[in-house]
Amino acid sequence: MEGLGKRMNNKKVFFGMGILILSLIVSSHFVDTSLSCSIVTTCPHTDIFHISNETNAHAELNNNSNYDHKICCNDTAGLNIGTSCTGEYYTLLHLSNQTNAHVELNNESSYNEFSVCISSSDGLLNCSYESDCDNSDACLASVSGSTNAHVGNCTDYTTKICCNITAANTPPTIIANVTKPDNVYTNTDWMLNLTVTDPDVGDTITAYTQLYVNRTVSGSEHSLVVSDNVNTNVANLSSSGFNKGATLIAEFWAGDGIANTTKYNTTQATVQNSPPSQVILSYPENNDSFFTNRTPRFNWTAATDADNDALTYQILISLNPDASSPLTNETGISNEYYIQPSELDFATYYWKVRANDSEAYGNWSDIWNFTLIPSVSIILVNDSINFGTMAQFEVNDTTNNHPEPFRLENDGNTEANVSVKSSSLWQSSSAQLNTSYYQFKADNSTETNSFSWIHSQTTWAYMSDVYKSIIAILNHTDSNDLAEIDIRVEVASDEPPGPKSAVLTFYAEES
Amino acid sequence: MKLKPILLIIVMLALASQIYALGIAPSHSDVIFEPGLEKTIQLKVINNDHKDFDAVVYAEGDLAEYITINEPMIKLAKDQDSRIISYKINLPQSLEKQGLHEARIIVREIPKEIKGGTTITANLAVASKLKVMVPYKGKYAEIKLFVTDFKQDKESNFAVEVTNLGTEDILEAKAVIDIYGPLNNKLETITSNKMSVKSKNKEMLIAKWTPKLRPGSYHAVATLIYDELNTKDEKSFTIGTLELEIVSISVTDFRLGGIAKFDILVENNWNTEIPNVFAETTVKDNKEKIYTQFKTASVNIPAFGKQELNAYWDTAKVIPGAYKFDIVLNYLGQKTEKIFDIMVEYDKITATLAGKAIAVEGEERPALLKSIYILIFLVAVLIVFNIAVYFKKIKR
Repeated sequence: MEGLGKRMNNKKVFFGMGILILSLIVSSHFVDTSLSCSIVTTCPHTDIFHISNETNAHAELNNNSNYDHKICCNDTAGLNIGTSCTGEYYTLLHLSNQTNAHVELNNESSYNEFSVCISSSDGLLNCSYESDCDNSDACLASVSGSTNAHVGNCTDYTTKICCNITAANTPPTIIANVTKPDNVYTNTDWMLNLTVTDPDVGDTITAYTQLYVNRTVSGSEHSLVVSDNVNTNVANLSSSGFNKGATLIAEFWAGDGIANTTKYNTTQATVQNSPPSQVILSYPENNDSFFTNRTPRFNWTAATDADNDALTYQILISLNPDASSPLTNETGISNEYYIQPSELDFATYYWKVRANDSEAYGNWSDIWNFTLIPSVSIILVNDSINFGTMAQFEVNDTTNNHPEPFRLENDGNTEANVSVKSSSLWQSSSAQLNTSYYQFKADNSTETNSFSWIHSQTTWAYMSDVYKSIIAILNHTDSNDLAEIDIRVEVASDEPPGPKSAVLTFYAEES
Repeated sequence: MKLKPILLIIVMLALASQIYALGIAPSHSDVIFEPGLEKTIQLKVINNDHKDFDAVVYAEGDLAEYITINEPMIKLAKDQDSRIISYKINLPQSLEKQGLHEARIIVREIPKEIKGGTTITANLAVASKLKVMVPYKGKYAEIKLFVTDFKQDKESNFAVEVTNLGTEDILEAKAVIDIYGPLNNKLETITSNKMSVKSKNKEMLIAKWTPKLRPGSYHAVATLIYDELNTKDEKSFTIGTLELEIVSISVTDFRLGGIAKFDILVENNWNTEIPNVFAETTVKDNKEKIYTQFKTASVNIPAFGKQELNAYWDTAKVIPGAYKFDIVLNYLGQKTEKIFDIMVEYDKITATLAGKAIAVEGEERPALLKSIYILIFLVAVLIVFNIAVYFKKIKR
């Protein structure tokens, strides 16, 4: 803009081609306002110069008072209009004298002493000699020739003095820059919002942005036309363009087509670690009030991590509904499950899990609960013993595994006591129940120490039709939970021939 | 067509001796007596063996008259893992005796078809106990101690569930937990928080503990002190994990072609003796070809002690090179495995594990090898001699 003022010096600049080009440049860079000029007898605005008559007149400088016809100008937009022949001005005419003068065009040099100038301290004037002024121009006067000429109103002669004024451009100002979000993660885009103002009415404001990731240019320069004084999202950096720990900076500036602001940098943002997602529990099911596994495998679905970090898990198992004061607090679990190493006692348990990415924990899962209850469950490995056809006085038992004894397995989760009773096997009156003709006893299986030997019936006892204790404290751990029940039968001398059968019942309850 | 008799035999065998299973959960239910209490209790009848069967459900015991079984006959299908049944209790206004009253809800399988011959057929019945506790006059509490799998230097908790089975509130209850070692020597005492417990209510006391004790089995005895009375419960627990460690292997006085004796040093980091520890060793090459397998003698390793196991390998047909020495320790139903890379040379075997090399050098090369070297040398001399003779003859 300084150069433009210099070009306006009347000693160096001539009307014609140069001024036309200059005018075009000026008109494209500045905002036209409305210069209004008229010939009046009393000038309430800026008195440019005087003429002796409306037509075919002589001229005088505005500081003379011989003529009543005054060329009076003002700018309706309020720009200052003056008559100084220094600084930013246009020389309209040369006068042969201060008053009663002939005039010549400013590119003539016969009258070098007295000049009529129009100036503005806050606008840019653009004047030219035209055969007809544009609509945007104000016509000040017309002259009869190029030198030694008379002057008149705008309709008097064909050479007219045309001027317009434009306001000087003010570059835009960036009054706010905000990056969002405050904490940047790898799953959130990074955004820059700018608020730009430009006092020049009608200027097109463009915001420019260049994004940098780890101080390296990321993508091409962004430009966006923005509204004056409106907070506008001008650039987004997709989360796919950066990783955890990256530094993000946006360089930004604004322009109005004529001038740009200086370039600024946002505060550097560092992409933070994204904590893992919340864990979803899957097993044991919530509110399961019939849960019987004392060494459960606690399962959950894998958490996700926006940074693709390796995850470990923490599990809390507590007797309190808020999972406080946990009995188990296991961290660093690399699987999506936790196997309870030792048997849980019977109670209601509350548990929750969260994931860890080595920098931060995700949110705790919901708290789930299950109620571990004792169960007695017996497996009868073989449900019948067939001694085949037996003769009178014949004795047989299962101690030699011919036939096989009954085998009982405790499939529950607590120790069990087992009793036995039976219906009568024999028809003989001397061989009814509670006699030596039908007896039982407990024995070790291949899984020794499966029950309390001293508290169990390990010697032959008479079978009865009321329950008799046979096994005490039958263990429930898989490696030692199997017992044998031997049966001994003897055929009485008076037992009639025919098939014999009895129904025996093993009754189990917790110890 | 030949398959038919086989299938028939299989079916007959299957029918001849079948597995039967029956379970019930919970195997007991606790109720604190209240006059006229009405309550429905659910039971789960477990059909572990997935069979079709019918069963009767009935109550026995001194409270049987207050129990109504909702379904006295039940049917379970083979596709049912379990079935929920229920019974109602309708307690009287009073029970004369304080303390525990019991009833049993019995689920009994209906007997199956009886087979021929002299046959005894078994069926199953299981019971769930109903335990009704009539509160004692005055103050009376029972406790249940919960332990966990502790880890050395990591804080965890003992929990003591206090049930007030007295007619009066307990103003202040706290648990003192004594920790005993394997020799029944008291090692530590910790104390829980204090709480009041209202009559017929339960509260949970917590005692935080960071074990400084070495890994092993321990015993905790909790004593609840409440309003100048006390009661106890006890549980065993562990600190850390029982696992034997193979500290090193070494081979002494080795000569290729002879018997290599591997000394496997095993450490017990547990506070009790580990009995009957033995190792199964396998020597393989890189193509998994097995050269030898050996089972060591069993040893008992004292608490926090070390013991050596010896494995042997006849190297008569072994050529020098790299092999793998796989050791599987067996103890208390557990296994610990470690694989060593071994380098067999003429006079030493070097074992490598986790960046450490264990090497034992022999004093001399084996006599057999020495003989081979001498023979090779003599053959070479003879060849040279013969060539020289041959050229002399040509010159002549």
